[in-house]
This record gives sequence, structure tokens and C-alpha cells, in this order.
Amino acid sequence: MEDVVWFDNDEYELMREHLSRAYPCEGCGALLGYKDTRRINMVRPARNTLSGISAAEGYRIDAGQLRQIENEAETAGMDLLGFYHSHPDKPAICSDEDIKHAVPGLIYVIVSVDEKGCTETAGYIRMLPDKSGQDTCTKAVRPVIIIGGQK
Amino acid sequence: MKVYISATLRGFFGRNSFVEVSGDDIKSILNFLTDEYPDSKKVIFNADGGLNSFIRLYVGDEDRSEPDQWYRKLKPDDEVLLLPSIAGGAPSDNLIPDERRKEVGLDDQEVERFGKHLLLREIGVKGQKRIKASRVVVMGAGALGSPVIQYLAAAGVGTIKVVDDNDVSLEDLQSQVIHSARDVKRPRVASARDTVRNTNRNINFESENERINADNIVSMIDGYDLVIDCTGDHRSRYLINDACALLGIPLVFGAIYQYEGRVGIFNLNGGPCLRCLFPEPPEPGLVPTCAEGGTISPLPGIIGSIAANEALKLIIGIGEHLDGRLLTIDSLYLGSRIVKVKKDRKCPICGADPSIFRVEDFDYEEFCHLKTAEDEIPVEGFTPEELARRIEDKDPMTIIDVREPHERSIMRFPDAIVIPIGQLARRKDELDPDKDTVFVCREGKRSILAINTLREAGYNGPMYNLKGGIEAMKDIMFSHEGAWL
Repeated sequence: MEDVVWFDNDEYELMREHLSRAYPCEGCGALLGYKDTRRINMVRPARNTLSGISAAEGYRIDAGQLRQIENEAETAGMDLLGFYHSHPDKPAICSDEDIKHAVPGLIYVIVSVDEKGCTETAGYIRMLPDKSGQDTCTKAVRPVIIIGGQK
Repeated sequence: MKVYISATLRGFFGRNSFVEVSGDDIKSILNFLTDEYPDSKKVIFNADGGLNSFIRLYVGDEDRSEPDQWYRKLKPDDEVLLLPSIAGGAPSDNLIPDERRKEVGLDDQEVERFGKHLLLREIGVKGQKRIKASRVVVMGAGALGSPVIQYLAAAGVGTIKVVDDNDVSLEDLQSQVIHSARDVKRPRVASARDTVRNTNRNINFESENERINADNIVSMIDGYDLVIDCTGDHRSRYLINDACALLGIPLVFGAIYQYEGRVGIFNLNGGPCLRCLFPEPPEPGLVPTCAEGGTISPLPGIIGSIAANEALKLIIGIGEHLDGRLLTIDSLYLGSRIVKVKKDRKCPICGADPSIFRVEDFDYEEFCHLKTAEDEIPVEGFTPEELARRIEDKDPMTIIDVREPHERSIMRFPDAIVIPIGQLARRKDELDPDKDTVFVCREGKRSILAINTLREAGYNGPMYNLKGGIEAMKDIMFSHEGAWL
């Protein structure tokens, strides 16, 4: 059975709003909640530290920002459950680059965005690398169902 | 020394945010961590012993993830952080860009014709438009080319270009299902065009009735989306691979031999190429060509259909495909397996430091050992007519048939001594060095190998090759055979 990831009311819209604003660049941020649940209680927008043309085709959250987010989560008593980012004018599917940089067990939410706003949303969880250590096989991720705007 | 573990990775380190470790460089810290928390080993390291691409190691603000940084001594007050790399990129562009897809439309008839494609969720109207907008080159209209061309045409590929310089012969009909009996002696490309037309008149069919070489290959495939290699010889395969690699065109590769076939995809988004898998063609004479080795009739249908299916998936942009992998199918014992093809950093065409920049500058004849057979070691030979005359004149000579037993049962060569190639060196005493010895095989290639083998074994008698082999001798009629005319 596929996993389901629930978004709290408003947080789902907050994420999509942030990503629409970031267009035509990729927007990105962190997903916070309580450990061992698949429920997102808080969306924490982050800054895409790539710039120029590469920001339209990729994203990066640098180490300093990541530590800050982790500290904030700890203060709020929450856990870092995953990350989200957008694919401007591209479908919401995991790219090879996305898979390569995905941490096993975390939730990765991808939203496809065009000039009119957000379109499809998809979620993935990276599997543990197999023995051969291959990162690029598309089987490395498992899709999850995203349900947004729940009370 | 304390190591900070990112919240995202704590699950692999007993949920600790700090781990107290002993060690004075990155390497010893990593060893300590993986010993203490064995589960973390496959999360931290990749198969090559480096860090997985989603793991970063910082000392203060400095990224020390690369292995050459692992042995720098750390100060006791340094802060070591194990963090994930949070990054990603947009999915790579489609083989058929959206702009080109949007330029084409489907009329009512096409909606009906391709209805079964439109029913598939992954293909639909968008996918069918991609197929219609695509431009594909099929190299070779032979056994493998037959199913490939027919399925591409049936699926609605907008432009199909077929390159082949042969005419259809009777023996082609055993496996080349695109041609029919009345096409014998016509160019293969003409016969292929008729078949495609009969399937779908709207397909833009292009053809080149020309042998490919280093001077014409680039102009043949430049500007096309995809090339499918359905040829059967090493020279063509390397030539096509190299041209595709240089032009950045993905290549679907198919090959058949006797009961076994292979399919793979090369040159896709900077992936491995044929040379990464096979840096060199096999030694001459080691592997008989498809023409000499034979092949079971439906095998090209199986392998060609898989190749066509891979091509369509690439065009539509769906599913998993054989990029960087090679599928091998054994039709005799029904086994199949997929092997991974790694990109070779030393590859002369797609590696880090390439040496081939233009196909014109590379000698494919020499690379594929096609020159040695004729130029470097001259072997004297008779044409079928010359040999026939000597037989009629009853010239004293020994004829050695080096073919395998099952080949001889097709057509025997009268009065020939049978010595398969593997036994030649051992049985050289059966030859008479005072008499001329003529070696015969099917195509006149293995007989050259036989002569060279005997020379190496120290046989000094006069040796001759039957040029073109028994194939060429078929049409010669001896006077005693024609007596009844």
C-alpha cells in the first residue's frame, strides 16, 4: 500500500503560495512535523542558494540554513520530516539529481509550477541505497500520496 | 571530539544529535561512526568507498566531503558536522521538446488509428503527438530492421529514415519479414518504403541506398532525434556509435547471433556508449559474422521488437529503459539478464579526456581488423572460375574444407578433405607440401584464417584460398554436370 502524507490546513497552501512566488526559479523549503508520523504540521520556506539560470533548473539549501531550520524545529518541539521544492515548467517527477541528493526515509514533495501557479503535486520517499550503491536507478524512490488542506 | 548529526540523519545514529567520537581526522571519525552504528554504513558510503551524494561532511564552514580531504588532521576544538546535501534539479528535457509536440495535431482518422495508444494513461494524446513529431533513423533494413521499421511505422513515428545499401536476396526472406518474395533483387530500402506506405501513407519515409562510411554518416543522422542500430558488423556499429556520441544523439543498439540477442541504449544524456562496453571489436575470425553464424528466424523479431519498444518509450518519455544497461536474451534456453554498463572515464569518445573528435579522423577499417585480412598478410587465392578450371583439368592438388559438420551437410564440396579449423595445426601432416593445397569455407574468410594458422604452425607447402568461398562457387557449373543439357 502506498504511504499517504497529510498536510495541515493552510500549510499546504502556504507551500504552494511560496512556490508560485518563486517562479520562474525553483523554490524550496523544509517540512516539519512529529517523528514517525506522515503529517506535515509546519512548512518552513527556505532560500534557494543557487542563483541565475541554475536557480531555474535546480535548488540548494546550504548548510547554515539547514542548521538554522533544525534548531527552529527543535525549539518548536518538532522534527524535520522532509523537504519540498518546485519544478518550474517541468512535471512533478523526481529527476536523477533529486534522487541523488535525497536522504533515505525523508519525504520529498515536488510541485510543478507554471506562470499561472502551481499545478500537480507529487511526493516521494527515497529507499536505502542497495548493495551496488547505485543512486540513479528510478526504483530508488517510492511514490507517496499527498493530501493537502486537512484539519 | 563531538560530531553534530543532522536531524535528518539521526535515525541512523540512535537519534543522537551529538556523537562523541575518538579520532583526529575525517577518515577515523567515519570509521568510528560506522563501527558504532553499523546501519549507518550504507547510508554514508557509496559502492566506491566515497560518501553518498546526499551526505556532506563539514568542519566548521568548510566542506570536507571529498576523500582527499579525509586525512587532514583536525584540531580538538574543530566542530565536525554530518549533514545531508539538500539539493536537486529539474527533470531532464524530453527527447521531443514540448514546442515540437505542440506543433503537431491529430486528425479524426489518427485518433481512431492510434486509439489503443490514447487509451494508455502514460501515452495519451501528448505521447502520441510526441511520436508523430519524432524523427528516427534506422540503420539497416535487414533482419533486425524489419520489425523495428514496421513497428515504428505502425506506432505512427512521423519521420522514418532507413539506411541500407543491399538488395533483397532469397536468403533474406528467412528472417527479414519486411520484404516479400517479389522484392528479391530490389533494393532493401525500396521494399521497406513500400511496406511502410502500405501501413500508413502519412509517414514521411526517407531512405539512403548507400553504404555508410566516415564521410557520410554525420550528414545522414544529424538533426534526427534517435538512431536505432540494426546493422550486423562491427565497423558499422562503432561508426554509428561514434557519430551519435559526437552529435549527442541517443542510440538504441540491437544485435543478434544464432539464438542470442542483445539490446541496449547508448549516448543518452551523456550516458555510456558502445565503446564504454566494448572498447575494441573482437579479434578477426574469433566470432563469425551474423551472415556466417546464422540465426533462428524469429530471434530478430524478438530483439527488434524490444528495440522498437525502447525507442518508443524514449520518444514518449515514459517508463524505465535500458540506458546504461544491456539486455541479453537467450532464445534457445529462454534465459535473459540485464547487465549494467558503466561509463568509462578513459573512453576515447565520451570519456573525460576524449581523443576522437571527428569520425573522419578515425580509421574504422583498421580498428575492426578489416585491413589485415587483405593487405598485411597476403594470401594467394583462386577465383571460383580458376578453381573450377583446375578441377576440370585434374591438376594435382589437395582441397581442404574447414567448415563445421552442420555447414557441410547443406552442401558438400566433392573430393575435399574435411579438417575443421580447430584441428588444422594438429593434423598438418595429412597435407602434402609438394602439392598445392586449396582451403575452402562458406565465405572465404575462415579459409584465410586457416592458412595463417598453418603458417604459424610452420607448414611450408603452397597454400591457396577459395575467394568468396563455397557461396561464390555455387553458380559454377562443371562440364559433367551440364552434360544432360
